[in-house]
Amino acid sequence: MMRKAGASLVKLIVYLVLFGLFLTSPELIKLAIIPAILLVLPFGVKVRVLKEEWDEKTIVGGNFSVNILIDVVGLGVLRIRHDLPEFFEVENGSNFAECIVIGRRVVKLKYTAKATKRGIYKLKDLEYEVESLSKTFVKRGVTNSSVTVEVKHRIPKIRKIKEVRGRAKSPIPGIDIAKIGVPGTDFREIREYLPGDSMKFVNWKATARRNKLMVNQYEVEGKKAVWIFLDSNPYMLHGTSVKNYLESAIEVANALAYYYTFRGHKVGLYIVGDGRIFHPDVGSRQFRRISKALLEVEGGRESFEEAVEKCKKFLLLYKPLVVVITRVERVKLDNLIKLSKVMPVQVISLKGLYEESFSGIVMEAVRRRAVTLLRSCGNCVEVDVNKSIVWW
Amino acid sequence: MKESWKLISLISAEVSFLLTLMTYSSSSLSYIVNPLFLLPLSIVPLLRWNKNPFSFEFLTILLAIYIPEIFPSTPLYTSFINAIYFAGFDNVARYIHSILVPQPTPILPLVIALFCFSQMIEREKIQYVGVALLLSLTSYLIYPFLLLSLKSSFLLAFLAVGILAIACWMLKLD
Repeated sequence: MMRKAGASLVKLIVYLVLFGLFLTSPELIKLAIIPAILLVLPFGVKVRVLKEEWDEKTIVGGNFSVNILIDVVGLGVLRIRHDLPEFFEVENGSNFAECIVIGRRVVKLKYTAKATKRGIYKLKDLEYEVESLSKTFVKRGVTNSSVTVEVKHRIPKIRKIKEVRGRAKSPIPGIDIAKIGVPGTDFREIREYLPGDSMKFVNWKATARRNKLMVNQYEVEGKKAVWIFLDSNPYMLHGTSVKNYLESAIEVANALAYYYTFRGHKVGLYIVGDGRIFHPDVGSRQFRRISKALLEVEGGRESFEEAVEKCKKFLLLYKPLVVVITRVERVKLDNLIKLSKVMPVQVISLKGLYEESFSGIVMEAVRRRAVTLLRSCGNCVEVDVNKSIVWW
Repeated sequence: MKESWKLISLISAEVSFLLTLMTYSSSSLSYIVNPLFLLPLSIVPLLRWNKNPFSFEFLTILLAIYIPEIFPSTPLYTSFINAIYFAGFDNVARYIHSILVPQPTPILPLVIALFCFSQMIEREKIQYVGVALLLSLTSYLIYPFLLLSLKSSFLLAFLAVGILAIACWMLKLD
């Protein structure tokens, strides 16, 4: 591609030749050789990444460093840059380098950047352009780079979740036991045989006595399951791309998943809007699975009613503690109240991004009313997105 | 610092003007038009400060000043003088011929090289000015040799260009 200087030199050549022809002056035509020499100067480089080092994981608001060594062979003025996604800010160093290359040269890109939004980012390839020394022509190219950074939310340290008063019989899973799981040795009751029951649990004496197949039921091992509903509907995106309700909801969901999985509870997740479902399971692997899924949440449209319908079979099977993270002023409360009559429900209401305008005041009033209503018939906790999460 | 290239371009324009003025002063036409009258032309680059001070317009002015030295050595000038002479204005022809004497113009390539330099540094960082100056002066210095070699090996060069063109065409086909 020709640059402005190149175009000017071509213009000068044409100008001198035409002027020379007009005056029939060979001297003027010969002068056109001077800009022509500058135009035909060779240039070009071969770019190869020698070494790449970077921090693969970081947290939102945290820094990560990238160190790239590039081997350049050729001639010309080289400009090379490593483009960052829009949610990254360069803190130290530079993701751009410019130098004159004559022969071989090693260029170093070293910078520290701050990530402002969660996600898995594959950073773009290295883009470079080489210009001839006479600034007349430019060539552009790309060289492969494999820098991938995983930006997670910080997990707030939750020491204990307070006992929540409400109508649910047992809203705290920590003191409850699982409805299904591996049967233990503690006997619970004798009940009628149901398809799927193991034959080893058949109580033959009771069967003979009642003349129908009876089985022993034992208390199952493990703690109560927790089911998180994370709302990712468009209204959750209110705020900036970096700070909005959805980001806070994800942070809360991540913290809850961490808290419960590391205390032996089965944790399941349903992303309302996204439609993704994670079956309840225990352990750090389940936390990692949920945490990774939370990094990829983009959002979508789905009502809470539809979400419950999709998860119905799991909810009836596990009878879990249901945690709903949403903006209570934007959901139909009837559905939440109806659900809280069947199983323990904790609603986490997000607040704090309304402006001081009339509409903001109205929405805040609607939110307060919804919180009051939910508290009167279940559990509702408010989380201010402007403050770092201090658990309730 | 961003505007420093303009200052350098202005200096090269003024140097070119000075060289042109010196050449003009030594010409026979300077007896008719005093070189001092040309001095106001030196403010033209200043008027073009917002863009590139050494513009094509200013180069045209400089070339116009050189015309009395370039033109007498051209076939057009010779035929013009002959035409006047044969038209019966032999005195006028003799007078013009005595004023416009063919002269060598060793400074003009330097002016062209300085113009190229000013075009190369346009909107560029100050670090690259040195490289641009070096390249311009190199092209100015090697230009006569290239001309000489072209003259002597014109046919050879013609042949080389032909072979190169065929090679390019074949490479493109692959």
